[in-house]
Amino acid sequence: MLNPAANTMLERMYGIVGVQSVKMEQKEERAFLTQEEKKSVFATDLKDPSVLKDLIVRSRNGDIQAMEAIYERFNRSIFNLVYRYTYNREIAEDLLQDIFIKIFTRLQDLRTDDTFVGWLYRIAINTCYSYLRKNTLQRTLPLSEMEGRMNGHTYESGDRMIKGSLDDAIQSLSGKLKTIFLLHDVQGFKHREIALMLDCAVGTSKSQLFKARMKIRKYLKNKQAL
Amino acid sequence: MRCSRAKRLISECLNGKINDTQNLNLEQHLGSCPDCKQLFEDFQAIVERAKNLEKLTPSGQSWLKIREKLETEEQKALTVRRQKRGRLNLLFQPPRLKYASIGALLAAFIIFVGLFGLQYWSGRSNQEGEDLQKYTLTKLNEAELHYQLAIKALWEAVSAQGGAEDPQLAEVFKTNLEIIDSSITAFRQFILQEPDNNEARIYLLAVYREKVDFLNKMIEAKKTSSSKGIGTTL
Repeated sequence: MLNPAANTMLERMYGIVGVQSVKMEQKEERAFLTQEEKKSVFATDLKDPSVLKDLIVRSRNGDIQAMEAIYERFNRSIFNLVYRYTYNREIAEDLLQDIFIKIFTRLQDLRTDDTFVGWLYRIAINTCYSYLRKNTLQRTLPLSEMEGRMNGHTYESGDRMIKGSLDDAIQSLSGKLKTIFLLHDVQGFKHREIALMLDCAVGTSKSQLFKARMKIRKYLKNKQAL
Repeated sequence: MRCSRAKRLISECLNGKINDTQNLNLEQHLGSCPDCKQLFEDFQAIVERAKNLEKLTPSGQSWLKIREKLETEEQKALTVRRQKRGRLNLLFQPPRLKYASIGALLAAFIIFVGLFGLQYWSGRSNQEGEDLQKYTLTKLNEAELHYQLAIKALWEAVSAQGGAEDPQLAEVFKTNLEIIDSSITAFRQFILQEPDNNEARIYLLAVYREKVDFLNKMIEAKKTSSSKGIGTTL
């Protein structure tokens, strides 16, 4: 049986009115959140830091529903970040899974719960870097890209078709420039937050963003896309 | 304003991070420098496109896979924890064993405190000495009681293990237990004749401790024997 604080939290999270109904839900050991609950979690509650903090504590104690709520809150933004390192949906899905498994199995390592978001992104970025390093060493290409080359054409694979020219420009950026551009201009983080995530100075983040924008500009100009 | 300064401000201006004076200076510069004006417009377009990049959604299967892996990880961690516990000692196994071991430790502590107190107070007067004697006796009795409880609980644990026993192992158990039990009987008889003999009581406790240790070994040996399916000697 849950303590009163946990009941209150469940009521706030899932919009279930009445402690009794919450207890009923608990007894049934529901595995997944319903669509309504997901909407509720994503739309409002996690904007409140105390709710996120509570979910982190519960996730640390192995509460799978709290983990799902955290996943619901962050999966899209992390997926979009990861996708723009790999430009392969399948690989991005695999990396997304790796990232969240790391997050939930290493929550004990998180020093302060207030830094969770930065920590989550740092793990995501490091996972992408590891993948890219490995991928570069193995010199492999996604099968979908190989198909285009094998036939002697330069047409783009299904994944590349959905990209706009800005995506091409982002793909041309080197590691840190890409990271800072994605975090600042695509994900909307501030330089101060990026500096904390990447363990660098705020000035470095600003100057790298300037360089990234300049490179993208040059790329797009060359392609006559700007 | 120089172009290099203007370029830096253009980038920062798009983040909304420049003050009114800087903004005014930049506007003046952009009005007179077509290159910087072009840069400003290009950066604006890039930032706008970045905001409107296609937002992708991962498949619904991702969470199911994560959940599955997390549950597998949890199972693995649980198995490792159990193995570690099993290797460490019996303290964390069934509650009965835990309490028995704690009881034995408590008894050892009481003996230590009793003996230490005896030495400490030995220089005091006769009256104090008599009080001390009574006190020590009480504590030794308490220790004996704890040992007896520990032995009872451990014996119940041994009996609960059940299962077929290796005949050689059973013989070793029987012989050792007979020796220990005969020692206990001998000391108890001696103490009945000389109830104030602390030394005899301490020896009795030592034998009790011996029995606690032996019962622990019996439990471990029976467990190993049943898991390996072969006889084990102590």
